[in-house]
Amino acid sequence: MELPQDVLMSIFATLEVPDLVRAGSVCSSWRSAYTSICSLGHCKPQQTPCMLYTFDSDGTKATGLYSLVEKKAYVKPIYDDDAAAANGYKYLWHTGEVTVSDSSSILYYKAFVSCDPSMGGGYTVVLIHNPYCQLSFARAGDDKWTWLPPYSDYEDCFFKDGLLYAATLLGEIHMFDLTDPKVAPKIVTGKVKDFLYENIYIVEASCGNLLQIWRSDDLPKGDVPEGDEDDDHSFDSESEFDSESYVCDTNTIKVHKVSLTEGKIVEISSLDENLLFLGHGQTLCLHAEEYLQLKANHVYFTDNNELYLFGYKNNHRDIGVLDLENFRREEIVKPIYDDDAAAANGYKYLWHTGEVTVSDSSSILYYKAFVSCDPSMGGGYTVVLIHNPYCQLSFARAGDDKWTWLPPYSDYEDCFFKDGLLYAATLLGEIHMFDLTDPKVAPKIVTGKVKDFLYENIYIVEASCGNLLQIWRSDDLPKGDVPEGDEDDDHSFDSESEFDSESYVCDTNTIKVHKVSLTEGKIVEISSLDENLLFLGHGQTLCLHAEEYLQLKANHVYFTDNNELYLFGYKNNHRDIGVLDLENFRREEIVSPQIWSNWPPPIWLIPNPRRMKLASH
Amino acid sequence: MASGSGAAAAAADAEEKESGSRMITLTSNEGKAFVVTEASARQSATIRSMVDDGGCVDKGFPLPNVDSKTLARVIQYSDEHGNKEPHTVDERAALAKFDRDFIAELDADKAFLYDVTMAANYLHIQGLLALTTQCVADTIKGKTPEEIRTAFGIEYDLTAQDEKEIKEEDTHA
Repeated sequence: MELPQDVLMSIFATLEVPDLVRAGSVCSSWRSAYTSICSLGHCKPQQTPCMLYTFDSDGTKATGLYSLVEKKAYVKPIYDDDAAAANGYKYLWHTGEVTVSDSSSILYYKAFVSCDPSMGGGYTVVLIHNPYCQLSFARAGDDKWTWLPPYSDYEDCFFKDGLLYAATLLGEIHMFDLTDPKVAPKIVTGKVKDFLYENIYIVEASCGNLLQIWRSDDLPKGDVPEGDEDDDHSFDSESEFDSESYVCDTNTIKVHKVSLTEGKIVEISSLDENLLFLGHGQTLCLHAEEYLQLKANHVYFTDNNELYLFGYKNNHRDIGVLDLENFRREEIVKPIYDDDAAAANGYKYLWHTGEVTVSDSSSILYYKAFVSCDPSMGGGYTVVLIHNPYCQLSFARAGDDKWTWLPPYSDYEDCFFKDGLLYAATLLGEIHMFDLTDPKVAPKIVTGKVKDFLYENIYIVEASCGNLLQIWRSDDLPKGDVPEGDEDDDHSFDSESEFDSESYVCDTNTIKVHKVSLTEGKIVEISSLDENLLFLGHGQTLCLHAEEYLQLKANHVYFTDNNELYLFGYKNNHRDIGVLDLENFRREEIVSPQIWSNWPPPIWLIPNPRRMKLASH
Repeated sequence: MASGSGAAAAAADAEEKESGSRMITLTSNEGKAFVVTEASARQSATIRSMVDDGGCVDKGFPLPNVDSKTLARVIQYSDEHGNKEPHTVDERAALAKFDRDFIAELDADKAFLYDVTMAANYLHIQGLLALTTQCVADTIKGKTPEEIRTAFGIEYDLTAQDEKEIKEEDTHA
C-alpha cells in the first residue's frame, strides 16, 4: 500500500532537508517523490539554517553540518572537494556555483621576499594582505602563514639585517624580528601624518639610510572631493562618476630620511645619486653609478593606487619617471616587464619572482559574498562581493566574465537584495542603494553616517514585516592587552605590553537592533525583535520569523564569527559562536561541548537539497 | 465563514444552512451506505462539486476507493467540522481538541493513518488531509530510513541503481 506521489510530495514539502534526504531512501515510491520535489525545487521554503564546520578526523579535515532543528551533527564529509572543505570561504561558491576567474587580483596588496629564493637557503615571504592591509609571513617550508597582530594599514616592507621593517599608511614604521617566536612589533617611528591618500614606501638607500617615500596621485577633478572629508566618505552622490575618463597621475613624490634612533623623519629635497623604483612590487633604491642607463634623483614608478588599479583596469596606467629636481614627468617608452600576463595583473609579479605557492590565501580574498537568488532555480542571478582592498563592492551577473566595480565608497559590511535593488551598509552605518540593472549604477544614499565608532560589525536585513533592520554587533576587546576606546585612530597600542594571542578570546556581548526608515533616511534603535530572530556571521544575514521555525527562539540572535581581525589573527582560538537572548542579553551555547575546529570558522548555511549531498547515518 | 459580515456573506450562510439540511448517502466499496448531512458531505471538495453541478443527490455517491472502516472515520471528521460551525473561543478550542484526539488515534495505527490520508486525498477534504499528512511528516522527522520503513510497514524495494545513486550522494558513507 502506497501513498500517491502527489500526497507524498505534499508531505515532503514540509520536511527539513535532513529528513527529506532520509525519506528519499526509504523505498522506490518515496525516492521518486523525493527526486521530483528536489528537481522541481518544491522543498520547504523555510529551511532552518545549519552550521557548516570543519573538524579533525584522524588527522584529516572533515566537514560537519550541525542541524539546529535536530540539534544533531552530520559528521561525514559533505563535499567531494576536500580542498574546498579545508577552505571555509569557498562554501559560498558552492552554494552559489559561481566561478571567480580574476579573483587573485584582490587577494593581497603586496608581497615581499627576504632574499632571492633561487639562490637556495632559507627565505621568508611577507604579505600585506586583506583585510585592512595586515601583515603575515611564512618561512620557506612553512605550510601556513603566521599573522603579525595587532596593527593594520601596512603599505610597504623591507628586510634589513634579518629584521623586517614595515610602514603604515600613517607613516608609522614597525620592526619585527621574525626569528623570535613571539614576534612582537617594535615601534620605530609613530604616526607622522594624517592624510591617507598617498602611497607610502620604505627602502634602504645605498648609504644605509632608511628612506620613507610619500607618493600622491591626482584625484579626478570634480568627481571626488579632495582632502578634509576623507573620514566620513561624504562624496556627493549626485555627481556622476565618469569611470572611463578617470586617469590617475602621480604628480608628487616626497622623500624623507628616517632616523631610527630618534624615531622621526625629515624631508629631504634630493636623492643625490640614488634613484627609486616604486610600484606594486618590492621598492628598490639603486645607485646611479651602478646602473648607467638609469638617472640619478629620478623615480621610476608603476601603478600602486589600489582603488585606481582595480577599479579602472582598462584605463591608462600611471607609469612614468619623475625627476625630483623639477618634478617633471617623463614616459617610460619600453615596458619594464616582459611578461605580458604579469603586466596585466600587477599582483602576480612577486609570485613569479618568488616562486611561492600560497595555499590558504583565498581566505583573505574577500569579506563577504551575496547571491541575489538561488542560482539552482535557474534564471538570472547576481553575485555581489564585499572585497579588498578597503571592503569595496563589486558585482557580476550570471554569465559575466568579469566583476563590475561599484565606486566610489568603501568599508562595506553587509548587503541584501530587495525588490531587485541592492542595499549595502558600511562600517559607519551608511546605507547605499544600487540599481544593478542601470548601466551607470550610481549609489543612492539611503541613510548617511550614523556612528563614529568603528569596532563593530554592521548588518542589514529585512524583517518579515518588511522593515529594514540595521544591526550593530560588538565584541569584548581583550582586557588589558589592547586599550579600549579613544585611541582607535592612531593605533597607539603600547608596544611594550606583550600581546598574549593564545588567551585572547572574542566574545559577542552586545547586539543593538535599529529600524531603518527609508523615507526619512534615519535609524531608530528598537529594544526587541518581537517574533523575529537573526542569523549573523560571515554569510548572508538572515531574519526569520519564529512561527515558521519552531525549533528557533524568537528575539534571539544566532551568531558565528565575523570579526576579521580576530578570525584571521587567532585561527586557533575559541570561536565566537552562540545564541544571544535580546531580552536579557544572556548568551547560550549552540552545542556543548564544542564540535568544530576553530579554523576554518563555521558558517551558517541554509540546506538546499537541489545541490546538497547530505550523508545520512 | 466565521468572519461573515455583510449581506452577501449572510445570504451565503443562509443558503449553506438550507442546503445543509439535506441528507446525502455515501457508499463504501463494500457496499455499506452512510447517510450524512449535506454540510458534512460538503467538507469533501469532490462531493461538493458533484452536488453543485446538479449531481443526483438522491441516488447517493458510491466511493469505490474507500472501505467502510475508513469511510466511517472520515465521516467522523466531516461531521465534526461540517455540522458544527465554531463561533466562540471555547467551540474552537473544542474542535482543536477533537483534531488532536482524532489524529492521536490514527497515529497509533499507521496503516489506518495511510488509509485515511488516501481517502482524504481522494475526497479532497483539505483540513483532514493537512491533519494526516502532518502526522506522517511528524513520524518521518528524526528517523532513519530503516526506522521509517518499520513505522509505516514499508517494504524495501530500492533497485541497485537507486542504491548506487544514494551512495553517490552519500559521498563518504
